[in-house]
Amino acid sequence: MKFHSALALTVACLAATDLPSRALPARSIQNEQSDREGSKSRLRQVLEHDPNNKEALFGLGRLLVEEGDFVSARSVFEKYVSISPAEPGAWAYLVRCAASQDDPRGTAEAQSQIERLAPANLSLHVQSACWLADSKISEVTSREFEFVMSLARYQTSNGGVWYSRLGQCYENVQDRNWATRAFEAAIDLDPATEGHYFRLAHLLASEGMAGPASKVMTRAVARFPRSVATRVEAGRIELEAGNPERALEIQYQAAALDPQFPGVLSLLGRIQLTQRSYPEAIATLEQAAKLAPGDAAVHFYAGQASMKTEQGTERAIEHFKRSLELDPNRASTYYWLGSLYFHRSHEYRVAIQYLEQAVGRGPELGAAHQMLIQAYKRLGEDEKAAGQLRRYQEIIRQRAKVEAPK
Amino acid sequence: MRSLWLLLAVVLIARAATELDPIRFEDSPAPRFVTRTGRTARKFLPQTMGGGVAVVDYNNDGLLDIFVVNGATMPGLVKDGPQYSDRLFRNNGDGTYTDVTEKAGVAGQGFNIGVAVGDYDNDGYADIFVAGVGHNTLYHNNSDGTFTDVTERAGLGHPDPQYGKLWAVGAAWLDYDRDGLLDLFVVNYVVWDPKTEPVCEKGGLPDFCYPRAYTGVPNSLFHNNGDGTFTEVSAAAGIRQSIGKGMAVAAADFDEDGWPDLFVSNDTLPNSLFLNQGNGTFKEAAIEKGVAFTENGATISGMGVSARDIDNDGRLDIFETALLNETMPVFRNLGRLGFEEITFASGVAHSSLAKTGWSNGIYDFNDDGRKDLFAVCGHVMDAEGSLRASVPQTNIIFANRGQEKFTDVTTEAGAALARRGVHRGAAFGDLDNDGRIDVVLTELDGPLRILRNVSPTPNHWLLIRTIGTKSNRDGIGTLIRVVTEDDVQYNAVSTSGGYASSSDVRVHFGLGRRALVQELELFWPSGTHQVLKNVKADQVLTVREP
Repeated sequence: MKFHSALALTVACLAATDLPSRALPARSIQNEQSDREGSKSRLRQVLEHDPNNKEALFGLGRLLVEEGDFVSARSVFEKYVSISPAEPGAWAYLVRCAASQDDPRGTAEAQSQIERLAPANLSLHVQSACWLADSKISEVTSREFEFVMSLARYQTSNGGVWYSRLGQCYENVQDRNWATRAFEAAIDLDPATEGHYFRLAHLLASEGMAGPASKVMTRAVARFPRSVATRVEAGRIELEAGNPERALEIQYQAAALDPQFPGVLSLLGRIQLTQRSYPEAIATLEQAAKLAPGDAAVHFYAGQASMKTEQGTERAIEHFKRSLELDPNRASTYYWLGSLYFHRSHEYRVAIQYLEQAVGRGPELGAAHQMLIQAYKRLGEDEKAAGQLRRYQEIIRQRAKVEAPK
Repeated sequence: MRSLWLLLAVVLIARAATELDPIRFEDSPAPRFVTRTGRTARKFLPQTMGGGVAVVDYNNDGLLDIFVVNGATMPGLVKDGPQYSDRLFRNNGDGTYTDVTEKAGVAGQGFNIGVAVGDYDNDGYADIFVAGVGHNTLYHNNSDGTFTDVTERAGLGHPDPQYGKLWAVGAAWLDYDRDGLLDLFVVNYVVWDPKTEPVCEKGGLPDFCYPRAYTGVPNSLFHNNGDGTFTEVSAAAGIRQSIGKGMAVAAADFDEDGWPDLFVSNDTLPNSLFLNQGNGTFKEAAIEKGVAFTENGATISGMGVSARDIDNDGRLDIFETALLNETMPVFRNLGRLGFEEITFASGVAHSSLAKTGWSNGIYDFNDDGRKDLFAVCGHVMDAEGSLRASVPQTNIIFANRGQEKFTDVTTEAGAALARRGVHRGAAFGDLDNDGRIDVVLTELDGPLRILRNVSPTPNHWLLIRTIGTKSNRDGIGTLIRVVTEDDVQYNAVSTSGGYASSSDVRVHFGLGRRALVQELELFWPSGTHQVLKNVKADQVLTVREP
């Protein structure tokens, strides 16, 4: 039982550290890869001497899953469950492997084993449901999701975090209905955590459900009347929903609570940006940057405001570059820099450098692909332009596959 | 001495830039008509989308008449009374109009959105296609002042096999295979059914849902069989493969290969550019040519679209309208290099950021030889919703200063331009044949308006009516080059453009102070190249294809 708990914890940790590899500097990625190779090699050595070593089998299988080698991982976990069929963590990995191989029967079998062996293990079922989220096996996915939801009535407030995670998984695959249900469950279980409200509201706002998003944040403000962060977030939601006037009202309330809270000025700057008061937005955002010098987003929006003024190109470039220093992974910042060099100064070679970074970090940024193609064409590099077009078309093809009806 | 010359040059350039020939409009008496949306407490998306209008000389008397579409009850989609009738108004030539709807038989049915005019059977009389919610109509002009609904007979009444009844918002007539017969491209918006309409609100009041709440659909291309029937060729032609939320279409030969292409603006999805391959198929190339996205870095809510030559380089450029805070993109055609977006560089971005544009046009309103930009505006949200005060908007005019630069001259264009409204449709044409392009526009739940162009300029002009013989009778697709003593201009024959609207098939040229066109060249869709010499200005010239 102790081992079960340890495995479940491993799964939970995996979930929590499931960061995209591109977020890591190249050196760390190399280190991580070499560490992984070393670990695999050690585990294989253990298995040579002791082929039925459960810990080694589990560890190796987990590493193979991380690498996306689901075929090999599946055979490892199948061996594991043949030795220890009552281990739900191994069955959870088998769900992942079978789902990745589009094997409905194998997925259903593994899922039913988890249900049988660990009917009350919320973390394990959430992880399983997350792994199924982007699979094409709709029947099993639906069954596991509903199973997780049915567990809600037995949970304490600690369960909120798991439903929040479940919501994020389904938000990532753009399944709004299920994500909404999961976030609502998180709020019901744990109404004292502001983040649950924020997530649900952002989801609804991003789907154009401005009214429901507003209502969620109204609940949050009522629950946390002294929280400046909640009011700032409520203002952001109103802004995203296209209600800058309402956002401004909320911003005033937040400022009354704590005018020095960095998010308060940042929100005001964004509102001014939306209202096309560009010089005011620049001044506000630059002030916000002084309060929160490490906030990349403040510089990003200051850049956006600057580029919309007559002589603001240089200043915009400075802000975007500063934003990149603070957050080198934001694809849209590279895009805007590329755009400024492309459209304003016609420095296509420089634009290409930024746009390549933009499409590398945000392959879904169609506008960056388009501009990159045009930049290569302007330089007479037609083959590179054609190559870039092919890259984009491949991304579109892959996305269409993922988004195909399940 | 050198610096003195430089200073003089700067002063001259500055004067040229500031001394634009004025553009003025005034409200002229318009026929009594209100675009009805079937207003309800609950909001249904088509209610914010209607308002198509056409200027068409349906009786060949040389005067542009007005056809305007109308809504219906909601959610029933029924025209249950004359207040919902589409209307045809005959131009009496004296600034008045007569309602001839009943006699003409064009009152229509259902909730209609857009209109496209073209002589599809080459009998010399303009036929009318009406785009609507789940139901389109093709009217054949009987040449005696009446029309016959030939939708079913023409093969245009079938529901889509995959999506069922489609919601069309506009259309374009073009001869995509250059067989001398006009084919029909229909712009479809989203999957929509009143029974499954989501409920949305803004600021605590019911309002229209965002397009994201609806599923996109493909557009439709119908090949004219020449016997009064059409065959849908969307899939075979490579059109159906592109799913969009189509709002408007401009048909023009963008890549100068002699074959008409199609630019489609999409709502919250990338624009589509269908390049005609000359073999009955199209290749979608918006990304490749640089028009899928704007420099804002995201998809926009593309609305109206107009394609004409803004910089007189012989290449057809694109002017698109979009939502508040998205600018109204201007794409300059660079030929082989694709398009270059000049929205910010041209001066269009700043003023257009504050507007939600719908129908639009590229026309030389002050006859100075440079085509200007006009867009009608109005917020997309409900006029009785939480944004009430900001929903009606003024329209916008940009005067072309040359060198791909524009100046917002709306405030100097007269009181008619200061009036706010929830504008949607706009058709452009010379209603009084005075050589100045007028605008007929619609407002949701508001009156039809005629903006008469009264720009006080001594400039000359030429209006050309093309009559195809080998090409389609309207000459749609013909590229025209006008050469004067010190200027060269280009324009093309088209009724498509704007949003849900259809404009004068005649081609207008402002000639500035030049009273003579030394050379008038026509490149007909049939391949015929025609040259006329020493054509006098200030006339409506009919040119027959040799």
